Amino acid sequence: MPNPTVIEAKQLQKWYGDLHVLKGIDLTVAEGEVLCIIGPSGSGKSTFLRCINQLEEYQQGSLTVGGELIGFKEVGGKRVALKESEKTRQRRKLGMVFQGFNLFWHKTVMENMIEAPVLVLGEKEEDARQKAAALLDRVGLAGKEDVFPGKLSGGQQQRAAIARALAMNPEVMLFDEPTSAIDPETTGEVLEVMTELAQSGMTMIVVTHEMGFAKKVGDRAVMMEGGLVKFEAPTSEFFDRDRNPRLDAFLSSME
Amino acid sequence: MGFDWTFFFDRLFFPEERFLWGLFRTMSIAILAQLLGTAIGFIVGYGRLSKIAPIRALAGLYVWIIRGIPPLVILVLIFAGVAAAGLPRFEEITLGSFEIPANYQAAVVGLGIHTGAYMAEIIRNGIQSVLPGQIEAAKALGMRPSEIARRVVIPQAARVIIPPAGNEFNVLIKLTSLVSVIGVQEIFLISQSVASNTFRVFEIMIVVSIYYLILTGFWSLVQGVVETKLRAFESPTPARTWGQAVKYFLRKPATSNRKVVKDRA
Repeated sequence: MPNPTVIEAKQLQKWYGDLHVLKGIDLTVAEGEVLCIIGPSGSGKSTFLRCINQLEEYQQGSLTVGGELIGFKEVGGKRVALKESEKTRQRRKLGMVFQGFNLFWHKTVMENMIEAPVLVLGEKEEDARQKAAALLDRVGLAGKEDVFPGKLSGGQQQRAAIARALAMNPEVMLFDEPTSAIDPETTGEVLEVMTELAQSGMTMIVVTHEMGFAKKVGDRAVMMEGGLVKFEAPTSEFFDRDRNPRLDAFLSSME
Repeated sequence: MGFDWTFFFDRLFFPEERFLWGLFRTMSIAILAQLLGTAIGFIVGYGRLSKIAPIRALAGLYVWIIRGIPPLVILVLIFAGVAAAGLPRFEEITLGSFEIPANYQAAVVGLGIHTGAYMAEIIRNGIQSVLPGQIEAAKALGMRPSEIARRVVIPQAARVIIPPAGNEFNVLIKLTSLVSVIGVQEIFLISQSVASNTFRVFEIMIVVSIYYLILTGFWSLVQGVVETKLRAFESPTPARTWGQAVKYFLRKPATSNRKVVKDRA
């Protein structure tokens, strides 16, 4: 039996004012699956990811996480936007890793790690610290607890950001071009951490330009273009160039 | 022309009791007005950034009006003006054995209203300086809007807010001399009365100038220590405690033009 569906988008549509950025996305992600989204800039792939944890609102279609409709509820047959507190609650199942890391620069690595677990999950500070230390060790940052993010390399910051998201025990991890703002030398260490995370069974959606990573770690890949999913396949088939000329052209341009 | 050195040193080093009370009033008015102004600043500053247009407009109106009226006029208006018009006026408040005169309250409120308009702009700018990614990261971690404001936005904005806010307080210490116009016995009014009794205007005005300098100078030191602490993250050896901040400030203040470690992000 296939794993249960965790995330499901049906005819998802989004506009920024008059700009139609998502034109009807249909996608599902099963538990433990790693889905890689590739595509040219402006294709809507980051926007799709940001809709999942409600950093953006969608206007039509539906998006569910664990069967629960995201951002809206049905009241008497009509769809009503959720209150901020309900959106906040929904976000807690999802970990997000940003292109620009977005570690809190005024807090040390350890303070970054324990902030939300203590504040949001109500963990005891001592427990949160222990868990954080273990996670930092897992991403190869043991010993950096008391360092401010500005003193770390891009790769180190991104690994800390991954650990920070994991500290919230997310069911799904969303990665928005996690290596695009990092020096090529340190990209590898971030991808290693992500690979290890994928192997541990984490459900992941990764927006990326790292074809090697997508090919090796991804279970399934989709190509988005112009606000639509243009091509979707298990990665073994996806990177078989003969199947789709447009995909081939895009992949060639990435090399 | 003679400079009365004896009188000068006597007043400088052995101030009368009423002058010490004046000093207390000067400082307490400045501090309370700054607190009030900061509270107004947060409300109006956030109001300027509100999603609701009428709130934005009201906040903008406050800044426009208050910044356009001299604080001296505000003080007379809220103390004598409203009383003369028969509107609710400041009344003396008795707290146990302590009496807070009406003009003292008006002084705090008047200067608080004045400085609130400037604080609003300073705070608005500070809030706007926080990078959207920081707020998104906090949201993504499931933090509530109030938690994001308290734990991320305000601490990060503080670094931008503190230097100009410190300047505002410096100005405010000096602006307390204006409350003499509504009869609050602060150091300037007391010095004026000494001057008119002794005719030693030059000496006593130099004495009171030195007292203002000591107050503002002391504040500059405090501000320097606070800034050193706030810039902890960019120093190679971050000041984590206030004790360390004092030590670093004395060695190399953040207000000096030192090389900082660039954010590599």
